[in-house]
Amino acid sequence: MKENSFKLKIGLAEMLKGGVIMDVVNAEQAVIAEDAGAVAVMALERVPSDIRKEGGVARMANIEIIEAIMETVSIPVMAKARIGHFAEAQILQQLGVDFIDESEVLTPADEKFHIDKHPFQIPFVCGATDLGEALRRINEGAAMIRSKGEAGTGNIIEAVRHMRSIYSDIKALEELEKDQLLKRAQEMRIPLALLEEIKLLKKLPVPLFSAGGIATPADAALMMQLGAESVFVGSGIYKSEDPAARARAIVKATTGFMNPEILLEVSKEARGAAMPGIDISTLSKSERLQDRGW
Amino acid sequence: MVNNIKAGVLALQGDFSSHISAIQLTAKSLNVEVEVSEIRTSTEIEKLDLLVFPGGESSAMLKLLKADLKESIISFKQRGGLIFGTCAGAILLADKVSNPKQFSFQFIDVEIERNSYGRQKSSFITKDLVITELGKKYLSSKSLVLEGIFIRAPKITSVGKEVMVLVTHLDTPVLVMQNNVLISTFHPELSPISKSEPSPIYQMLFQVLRETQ
Repeated sequence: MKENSFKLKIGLAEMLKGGVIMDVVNAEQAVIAEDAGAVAVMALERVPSDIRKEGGVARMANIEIIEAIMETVSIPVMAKARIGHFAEAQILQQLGVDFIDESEVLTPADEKFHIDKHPFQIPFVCGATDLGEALRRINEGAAMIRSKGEAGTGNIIEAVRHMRSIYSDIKALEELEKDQLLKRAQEMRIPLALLEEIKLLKKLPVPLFSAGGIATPADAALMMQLGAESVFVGSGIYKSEDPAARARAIVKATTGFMNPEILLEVSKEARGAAMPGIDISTLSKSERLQDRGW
Repeated sequence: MVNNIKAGVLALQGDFSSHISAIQLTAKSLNVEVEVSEIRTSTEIEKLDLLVFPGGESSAMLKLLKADLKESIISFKQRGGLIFGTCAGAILLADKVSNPKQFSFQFIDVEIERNSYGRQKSSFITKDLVITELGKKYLSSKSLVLEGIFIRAPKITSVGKEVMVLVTHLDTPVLVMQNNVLISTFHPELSPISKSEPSPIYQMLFQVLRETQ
């Protein structure tokens, strides 16, 4: 039964591959996302760049808004819960959202524990900066991993760092003997069996998507070429000058990520300015969302 | 068995990589030579024997389906190429789509309702799939127990006279065929498939290819 339930969770993640999941804060934005060809929408209270600007505690979105979004679009609806806030997750499951993002973009609720995701019927996605973090989340029951990147900055460098680091960590396992593998598993705080599985598979056992800083069709294509299986776009769409055109262009770039001809064409279609970006080095330690999560 | 099958999986979006490995593993197990590729543009369809529409989000796939790709899919059907669609793929191939209404290729005379079982909470895995008398012609092995993985699945709400119902779940058709088009509302590509355990559905597709060539 438990095995079946995990199969269903990963199954939905599989269906979202090669697509774009867009952050939305209301039903109108969800319609724009669906019309642009999004494979799912992510309901949240404020997009990350606004959370950065306005500060305060960022929580699970208002239920009324999530409900309105669920009633409006036919694609899967995801919603964010705070790290460790299993009660928010229980409420989201009861509401019937299709996926929960236990997200560092919201203010963490627990500084030691992430949500135990196994008992839930619906799947979870979690952010990671390297292989150890990805595997801790998978060990807790995550059915999808995304790079954390640095949300709300419109700056792709952190997502690139995280994606490269996950893949190079996996590659590095090839060289390790059994005793070294055990030490590595201990460092990563995960069971040896899980690390052995990764060594054999040469990839994560769940889909790996990218998030945190994607603002242009070229950013989406970059992440796909680096091994992401889909992309999440947050502030990048609704903080740009022409959200609908940009959303459509990013969708097309994610499918045509290997084809420069398509990438040029859709880059032209993404009319108007991209969201304003932030240089990561100007962020103070407390402003770095990627450091949230343990 | 026919050798050198050229298969293509529509790779606009969805679980196309699962289909590709299901095809490869089944082919290996049956000693059939299959060349399988990801299909994103119209020219890639010309030489295929089998075209697969994977699971995913049908509304997203529709946005990515350009006019020239559509046309080459239609001419592939007209020249008798074999077509298989699962879940979202089934929706794209149906005659009529509801919840909501949307474009479809109308390659198979069924009406289909999107997300008919509800949201992800209502997704399920079942072994209670019934192979009909017609279905036994293709899915013959006596010990065969099919697994049905239904994820935010559509439901076939009516089938035309020409449509063969091969597998049902609680009296609802879940695997049906009409001439060269086969659709399932579940995901055989996500069930465990290995060299020793080939996919019964892909085994069947290879059989159909042999019969038609």
